Amino acid sequence: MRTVVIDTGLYLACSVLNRRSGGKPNRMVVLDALPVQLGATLVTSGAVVVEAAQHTSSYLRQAPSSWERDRAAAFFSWFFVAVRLHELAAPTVLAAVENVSRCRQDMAPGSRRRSAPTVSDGLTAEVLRDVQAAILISDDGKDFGALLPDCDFEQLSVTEALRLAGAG
Amino acid sequence: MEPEQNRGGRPRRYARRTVAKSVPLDPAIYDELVRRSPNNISRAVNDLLADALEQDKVREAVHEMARLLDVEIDTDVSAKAAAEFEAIFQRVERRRADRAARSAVA
Repeated sequence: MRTVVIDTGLYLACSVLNRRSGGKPNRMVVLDALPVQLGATLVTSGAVVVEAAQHTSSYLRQAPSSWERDRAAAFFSWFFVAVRLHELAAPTVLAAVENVSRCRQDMAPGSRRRSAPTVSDGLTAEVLRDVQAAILISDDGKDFGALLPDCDFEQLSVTEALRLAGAG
Repeated sequence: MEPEQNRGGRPRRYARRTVAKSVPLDPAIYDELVRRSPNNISRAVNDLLADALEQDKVREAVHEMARLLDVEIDTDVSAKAAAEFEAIFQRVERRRADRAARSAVA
């Protein structure tokens, strides 16, 4: 099965939270081309759903009108119909957290904290391993490379994915 | 105590529903179903319908998101993008097949 794992970046790029997405149909093309045209399955981790919910929730608090709030909430719901949440077994979650700790320990002393993989990255990496996805769309390419040294997949940054879809 | 299986050997309170209707199939479709699942055509039909319904849900979600953004997706652009992604899928599949073949030899 053709599977693509995504992280929070694609949600932010395509959603109503992104002012630049307004009126630009090509930002939606990634979501049309992969699952609708190719029949590929878009999947993500629970951590990404939580991150997207946090971004949406903070937008809801400052949205200028109830119409905007409803629109953002509806977009969030529909997005995670198109993108399937992949559940991980408890031992896999533990392995993911251990993998993140190991990666952080292996990082050169003095390297910037900003570039260290997060638990959310670790969980999304385990989803990728679990479903044997061929493509990862994420802006944290280096982190995923460190978390999954033995997996064969291709990474696209959100910008690259949008560029492939003619929206770069 | 209530037996765990019904007389048909299925779990009690079996959740599936049987459609009591004969559905004429085109011969080519019938042959394809037999090829896919020789001993259980209803399983093949179930799997195909499940995929189609899932695909419909995704299509509806993409349509609704486009409506919320007030945009119309250009299907030509979308098809071109699909071809770009398809090339990546094929590249990864080739690499994985090569690796599997190498480890089978080793």
